[in-house]
Amino acid sequence: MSKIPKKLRIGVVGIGIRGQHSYEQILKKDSRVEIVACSHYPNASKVLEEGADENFRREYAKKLGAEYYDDYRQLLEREDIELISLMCEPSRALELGRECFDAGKDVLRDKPMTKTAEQARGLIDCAKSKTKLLLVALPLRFHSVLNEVKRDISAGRIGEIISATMAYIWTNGPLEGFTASKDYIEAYGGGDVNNAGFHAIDYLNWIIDSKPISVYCRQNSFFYDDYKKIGMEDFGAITITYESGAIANLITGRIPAKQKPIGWVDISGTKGSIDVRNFRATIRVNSEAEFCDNTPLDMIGKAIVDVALEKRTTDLTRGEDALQVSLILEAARESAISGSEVKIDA
Amino acid sequence: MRKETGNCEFEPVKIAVIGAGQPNIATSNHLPAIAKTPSVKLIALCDINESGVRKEAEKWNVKYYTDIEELLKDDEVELVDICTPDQFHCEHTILAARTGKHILCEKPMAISLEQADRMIAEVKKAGVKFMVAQQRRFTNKLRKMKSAIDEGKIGQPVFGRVAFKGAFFPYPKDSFYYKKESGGQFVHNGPHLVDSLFFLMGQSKAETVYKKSRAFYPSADEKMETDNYTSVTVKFSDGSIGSIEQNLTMINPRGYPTREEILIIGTEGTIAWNTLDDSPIMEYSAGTISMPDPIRLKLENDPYADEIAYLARCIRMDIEPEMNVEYARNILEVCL
Repeated sequence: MSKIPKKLRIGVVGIGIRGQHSYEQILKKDSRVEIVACSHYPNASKVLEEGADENFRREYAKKLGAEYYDDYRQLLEREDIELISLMCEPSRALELGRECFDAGKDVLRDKPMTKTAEQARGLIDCAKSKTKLLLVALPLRFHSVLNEVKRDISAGRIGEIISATMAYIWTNGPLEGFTASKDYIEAYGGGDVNNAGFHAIDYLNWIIDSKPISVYCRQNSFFYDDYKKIGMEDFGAITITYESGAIANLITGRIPAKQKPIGWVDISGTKGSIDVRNFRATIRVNSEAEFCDNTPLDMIGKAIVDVALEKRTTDLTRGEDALQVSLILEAARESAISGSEVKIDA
Repeated sequence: MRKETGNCEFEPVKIAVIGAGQPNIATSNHLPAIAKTPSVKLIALCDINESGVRKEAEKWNVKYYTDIEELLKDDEVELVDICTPDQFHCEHTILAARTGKHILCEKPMAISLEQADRMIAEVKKAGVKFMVAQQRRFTNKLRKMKSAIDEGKIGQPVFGRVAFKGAFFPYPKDSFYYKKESGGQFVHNGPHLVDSLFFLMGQSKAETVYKKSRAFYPSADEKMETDNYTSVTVKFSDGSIGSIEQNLTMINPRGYPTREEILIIGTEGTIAWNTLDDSPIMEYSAGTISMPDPIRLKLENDPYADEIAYLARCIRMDIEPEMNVEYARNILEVCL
């Protein structure tokens, strides 16, 4: 008798027009996954919903081949669901995440995992008390180039890290239709240093593998009138000092320049140095670069299933890692206001 | 010596070079640059190393002095080019100002702000021109970048990063630059990076400065008393941000190609340059890799010559140099 392969059954809580619902689409590509149910939650931030209405959400569920629930609590009651793709605004993640854990589900979050570090601690505690997984989808770790860098460092090829400097800058201005608002800051905790920086800081923390102890940040609303109006930052520079003595510099945010995103990392160690000039392996076709590596999103999808279904160890960001990023970003915001270095009380 | 360009539009400024008694920036860069600059005329050299300065004086067919005070009594000399070690820049500037000589001073202008303040007072009292040597802003590369910015191609610059990564120059073991009193490697070489940033961002002073530094030397034999990694974030009065990184920890393994990088982000675009991406030559030799900066190619102007020509024009036309004594202090303030 052939063994019936086990499926990872996923429920989606939170449906917006873009961005925040991407991971279930990635996961759906994996033959080990079944997206079985979708739902929304009351009083979602309008900036998350971006105009999506009940019809949109029902259509979305249909496209995923999933059953739609008017009340997400009914979805949580389904015993066949193991993992909840909780795609809510960060300010609601603790409240909704707690319900997921209480219902015995593992939870997958987009970034930022929560709006505040305090909420991150709360969510981690909930997951621990129910011995459930708290996973955060951060694709930089899954770029084949950046993943290889981590392996080189872990293998001791450049010794102890002295410094790491990284640029992770989104280009071409805000996404079409996006307008900065107080509601957005209320929901997400900050602007594009907070947003893009979450990815990059997680990667820096991962490769440096030491406790962050202090942060200095300069950031501003340089480019966009709607950002300036509400004081939402679009670009900044952050310096992080780690217990090991390593110094990390990050420049991050979203700039208007019409060009490809800017991404590089330069790492100096006691035995060598690594310079990454391109996060993705490319070939040139008529001088135009085309990616020739696996997409990081596919790799992250596989890792999510590996850890949630197969209980394998993966490179996936965990709740504790996301907490460290939140602590750094909170310290960065405080530093940007005070103009001084801020110690991290982890 | 043949001049590279045609006749000078004004009477050449008579210049003496101080600190020209051994192979250094004076003999390797300044003297050849002076020889090709019609707007200056080399009159004399000075150094305490008599055999060394005599040899250089014979090469350039000029007189020499071994005592700076004797040189400064020479009425023929209008401009002195101070290429002595960093710790003497203050003393030599003050002596020169008091005798009414104009001054070109190698960077850093001094090794403390107290010295810098004394220099400012003496230069102002004497009413002479003072310019700190910052030849990088005269390179084609920086001038092209600056032109693009001035033409509005990237809008208003809001962020700039200038970085250098490599190994420290191998000074003799008994050199002052190994000692803590020198102020460290960022005081000695950092002014190049800070000036490049200020120049491109159109700034002359940092409103705030945040600095992190640390030391890594692979062996006790190579250890200096100062840090060899420095990261600085500056904020300018218009809210724009600057980042400077000088990483001279690339000692082990040998052969890391000296790497330089500039990134300017504007409200409408970016300017980027990095030797790893944009060096036109890669050389593999004796187990090492090098990627020459275009500055060393013949395509490049001689930035030292253009720098000296700029100062000569400032002197003859009575224009205050952009890199004047107060500006030099602003640069030093970031580096200390």
